[in-house]
Amino acid sequence: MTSVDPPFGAVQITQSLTGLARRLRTEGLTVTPDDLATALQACALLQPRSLNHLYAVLYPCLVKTFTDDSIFRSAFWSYFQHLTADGGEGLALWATALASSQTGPSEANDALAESDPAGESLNPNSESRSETTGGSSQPSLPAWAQALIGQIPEDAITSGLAAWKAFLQGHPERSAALLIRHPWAHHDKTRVAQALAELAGDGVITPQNWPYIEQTLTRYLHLVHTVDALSTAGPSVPRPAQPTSNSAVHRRHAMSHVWRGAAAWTLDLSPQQWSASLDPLRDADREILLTAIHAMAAQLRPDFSAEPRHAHRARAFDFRRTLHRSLGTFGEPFTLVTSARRIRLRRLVTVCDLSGSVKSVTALFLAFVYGLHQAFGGRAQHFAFVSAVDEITAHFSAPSYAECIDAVLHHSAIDYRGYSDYGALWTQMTAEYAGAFEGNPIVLVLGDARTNRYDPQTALLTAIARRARALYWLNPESESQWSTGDSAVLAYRTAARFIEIHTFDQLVRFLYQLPGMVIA
Amino acid sequence: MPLSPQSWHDALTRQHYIPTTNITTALALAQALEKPLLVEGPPGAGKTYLAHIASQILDAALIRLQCYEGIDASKALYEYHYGKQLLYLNVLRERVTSLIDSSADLEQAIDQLDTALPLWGPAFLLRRPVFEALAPEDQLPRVLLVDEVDRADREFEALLLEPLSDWSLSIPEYGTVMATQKPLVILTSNRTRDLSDALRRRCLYLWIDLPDRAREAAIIQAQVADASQAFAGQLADFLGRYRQARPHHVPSIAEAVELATALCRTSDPPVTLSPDLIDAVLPIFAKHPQDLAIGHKTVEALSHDVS
Repeated sequence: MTSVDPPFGAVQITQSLTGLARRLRTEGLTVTPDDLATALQACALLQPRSLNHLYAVLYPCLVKTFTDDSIFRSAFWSYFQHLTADGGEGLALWATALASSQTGPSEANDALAESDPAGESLNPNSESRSETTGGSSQPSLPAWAQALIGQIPEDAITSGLAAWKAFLQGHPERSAALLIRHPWAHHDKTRVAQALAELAGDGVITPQNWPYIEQTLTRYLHLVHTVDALSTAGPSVPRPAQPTSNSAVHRRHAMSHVWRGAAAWTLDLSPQQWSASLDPLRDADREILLTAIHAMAAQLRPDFSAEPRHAHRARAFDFRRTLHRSLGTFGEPFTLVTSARRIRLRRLVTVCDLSGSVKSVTALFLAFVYGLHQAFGGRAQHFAFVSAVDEITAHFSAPSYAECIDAVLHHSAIDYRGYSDYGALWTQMTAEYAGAFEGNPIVLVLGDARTNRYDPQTALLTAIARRARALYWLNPESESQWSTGDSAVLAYRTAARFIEIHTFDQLVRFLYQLPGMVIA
Repeated sequence: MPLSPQSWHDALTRQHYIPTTNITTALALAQALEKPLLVEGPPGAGKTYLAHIASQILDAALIRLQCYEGIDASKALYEYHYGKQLLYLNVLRERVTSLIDSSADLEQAIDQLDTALPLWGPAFLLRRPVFEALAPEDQLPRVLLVDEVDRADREFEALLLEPLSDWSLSIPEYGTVMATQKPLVILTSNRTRDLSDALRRRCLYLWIDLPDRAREAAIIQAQVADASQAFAGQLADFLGRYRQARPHHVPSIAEAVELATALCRTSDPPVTLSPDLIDAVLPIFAKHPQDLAIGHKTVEALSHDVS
């Protein structure tokens, strides 16, 4: 099958890449119009002839961090799969069209040129062809096109007129790229109409060359409409509404109200998958939910950014810059320097049970933590335990989550055949990792709180909770099973706030509240 | 004239740098689209070396800006030479006073002072790496390497945004300096912290990982003259296994080349690693007490497999 019909020019290429960008956005990748324009220019420059080559060309333009690598890879190959499904015919068409959009006129332009012995028609690729063949750099533009270009101000590089100029110069793909950056506005249209009227008055536009001008205008407007439709159609990834208050409490409250709406846009899951039980998690759901968690982490990552986001936020006295500036002027004048307040992230400590009973939930939770680890800039520490505990923070610098979880699961210090012993966990944490709880961190414990009849050492957990700003215990068991059998929930409840994450939507709801907890 | 990916490939190979398709494509795009290239990857993967080689290929001077915590505009962009300003004012105090005294009014005095002694002119402006890369005094091409940008503060990233996107530098006292020719800019990061989206958005992206067996063997062969194909392959095998054993210090490409060079120089023809030889060369790539044991185990396993 081939879904590509010739002629396949700049518009179709734009359409393909815009579609890919939209797919990437739904997967959680941020693709700005500028990125898309860069990708278009890159394709125009390097003219990829195979999908592998196209991948290599688009990768540097659309991927911005290595954690996006797997998302881009899967989205790219699934999106362009149809080009190889027909034995390569579609891909060949795509590549030929891409090359012809750069190196030669389309069939329609050929026909127009044949019926134009006076050279009045605008050959859309005349200039680019002369460049690529190493010929003269002088464009073979008709007089009316040169006159129209002359009417465009030199400084019109950030308006729709820049795209019009590129189109007249024979660069439809560059024109499309510019249109994405600077959409065609009403005043641009007015300027062009005025220029046409002026040139008609000067006798540059005549009844003889008018059909060619009209055809050029029609083609350009078609490009404008297509780019406009593709750029604006469909939402990208809607962000949760930003809370207006800086108060952590208000922020948390606001986030809890918007989480489902935002998550519903980002995580394309069925109702069954939303309410999928995590204890135990079915194999069929694991990969889907893992992908959804990655997307969610990518979406929430900017919320943890330490950059000042509000220009109107109160500015703080900056001692270092004040001192530096005063040294520069030998203390006279002594100017106080203030700078925008940065968002301060509280330290985060996660303690995860890796025993068989909760391993699947832990994997989902760690996927989320992995996506955000870099944002904490060294202010997060992670621990894993079964019968003994060990720090696993170093593994979160791995370039992919697969490598991270592989390293965690093969961590030599953790005995996976053992039984969970929460009493031993708190004893060891207090003895060996007491420093982790310095500075009022937020502590997240993930586990079923089943002690296997060992001593729960409640006093030690209470001591830890006193040092922490807050201690949340995420329990994958259904609340109805808490406090049954060997569960120590009742004992631990005095020190920790227990949260049920028995289903996937409960996990997502909690994770959406995390920014409100850790942003100081 | 921008080089094509194939030209980059040929030129890099001539300089004994074994590139991947991603590397050559990214370099070609960075040059043609005139966009900075952000290169990320583990330490020792060849990110900084890539900038060095690129400058040699383009016959351009390399300007290296090594980032660190606390680096600011005065170290990276520009700075006024305050000491020189004060010195000139003191030395020329009498002439300046007489110049001002002869003025009709204050406005004229200021104009005359500005003309006679432009304290905020280029003579007192210290050109730091970014300024020098944008407007080099000799007008020759430049390659700007912003090394380990993740070590700098987040605020510093904001200082780079204007030069990297508009190729200009706004100096309030002086004006806006526009690039006379756009340099090839390569930023490197070891991912010790997340860079801002604003910086990432302005850059093309390239991830360089530590090499696989085939590429590492090719690098060893290209960089070490006496290394045969079999020797390079066996050494790459060893290093691959050693890295898989998760040592504390992961050997870089440079250390792999040093190891190959050491083995080549100590015996003729070069011998491959063996349990007898490992102690002598361990200091080249094992930089942690626990890594010594991993080195021993790996070479023993390799010898066992070979035998």
